[in-house]
Amino acid sequence: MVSLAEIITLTPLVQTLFVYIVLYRYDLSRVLHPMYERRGDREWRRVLTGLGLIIQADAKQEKKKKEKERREVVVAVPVRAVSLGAVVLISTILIDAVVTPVLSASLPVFSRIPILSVVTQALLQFIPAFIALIGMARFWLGPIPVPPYKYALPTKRLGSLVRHLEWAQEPPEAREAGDGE
Amino acid sequence: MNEMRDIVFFNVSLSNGHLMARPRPLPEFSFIGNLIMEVERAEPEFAWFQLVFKKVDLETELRSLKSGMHWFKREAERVRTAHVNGKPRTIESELKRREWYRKIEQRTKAIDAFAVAPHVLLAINGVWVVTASKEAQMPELTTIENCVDEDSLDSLRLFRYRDPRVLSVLVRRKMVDDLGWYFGRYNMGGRLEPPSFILTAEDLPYYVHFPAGDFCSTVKSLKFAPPPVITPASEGGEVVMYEGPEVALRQDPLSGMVFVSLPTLPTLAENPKEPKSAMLRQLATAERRTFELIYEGGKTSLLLGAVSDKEMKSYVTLLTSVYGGADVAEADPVPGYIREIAKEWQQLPRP
Repeated sequence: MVSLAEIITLTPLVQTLFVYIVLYRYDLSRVLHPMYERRGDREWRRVLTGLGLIIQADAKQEKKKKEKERREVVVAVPVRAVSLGAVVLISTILIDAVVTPVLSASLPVFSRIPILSVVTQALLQFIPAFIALIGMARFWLGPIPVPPYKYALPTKRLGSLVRHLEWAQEPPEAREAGDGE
Repeated sequence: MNEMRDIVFFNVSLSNGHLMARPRPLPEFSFIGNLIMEVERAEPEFAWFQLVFKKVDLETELRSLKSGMHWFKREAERVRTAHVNGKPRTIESELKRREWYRKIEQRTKAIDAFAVAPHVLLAINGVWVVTASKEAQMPELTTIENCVDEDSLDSLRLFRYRDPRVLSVLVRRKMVDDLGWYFGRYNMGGRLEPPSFILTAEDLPYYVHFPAGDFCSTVKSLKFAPPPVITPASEGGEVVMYEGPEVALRQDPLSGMVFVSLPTLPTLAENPKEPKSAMLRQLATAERRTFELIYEGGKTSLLLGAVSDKEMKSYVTLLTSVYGGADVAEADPVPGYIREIAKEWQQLPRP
């Protein structure tokens, strides 16, 4: 059984959550309503097919294509997530396996106060946490929400319609029964 | 695939997300004419402007917005007393120096001015296509960006997107009609502009109207003709109910709406005057309606959308009553240009 202390010191999970809560405290629902655009040929094809503007081939062929597309999505969509995860993982391993042991061995204060090594390791996990947050902000979460009582919004920004684009794919009846967002 | 074209989707909304702002294009009845002329000057390969509107009741939301602002005002005006070198000194709140505080009176007045008026939600979405080889990009549309609230609380701004999912919004005639999240965020941080903005029924004719007067001669891409029904009574200001020709209306499964196009608009020497123009304030109903401009190959066509045959009939009747009449024809809910793009995709091998 993994303890909370181990999670805090060996992984950047808690730190990432902490940084997310601090930075996105004015809009914690951002993770559910991301501010990012989907572009590219695959997305175009998906939209045109969804609108019935691309006529489907015969059912069997279509089933094969859908299966292929599903596989492609499984492979293609997480590419960014996997690369980001790899960077975060490598930095975590570096911290756990190299940086903290080296610091402990080289600085005598660590051997005198053992808890210091644990605290340092937990603090160092903020590095991969920030890397993860920067990546997530770039590819999913969008910019940090504006604080309250700020009269002008940033000039350079993505419009809020992106928050609703997933809902836009639903047919009209689904909308009526939907949640209104 | 789209390397040959530069496809930009857009949504028009409030630049700074101040929900009580009601930007109006001035002068009255100039918006559509100016917009088409601006499109003509830019000569895109294709442009589609979609105005989707519906009547809503936002009184409760506007009132709660006002109470949130009152709370902030009270906090900002609270004076703190501190002792410096043993002497009491009053310290004003830092909040008082903010622009948010300075404009709070204006904003609460703006809410009072229309909190009980019949409200209309308007969403302006569209797509702009230029051939990539022309090295032309979508220009700034001054007709839109010059729409400012009369108290200068906010103005309209064009937000651009490259996400093809916006095409779904256009084809399905979607509009964000629940602004609850945006109201909730207004005084709490994380504020964003809502994708549709609030107007009153009085403001709607500033956006939804036929071009008339000088525009009948300056707008080249629209076809104008004398209105089919003009009687001395209509000239005298009385309303002539115009029954359009029999048009088979088919419900579009994607949007759940019916559409008609207006191939020819009535030539009018001047914009409609009261009491006829006042009828345009009744354009919005509880159901969605659309007023669309499609520019392709140097020609502009107008499209009207409503949720049912009955709704469409009353929509067309209202417009023709104000403008004396208009040709009504069957319309394809998806512009031919979009179908062409889809056809090209169809012929391409899948990636």
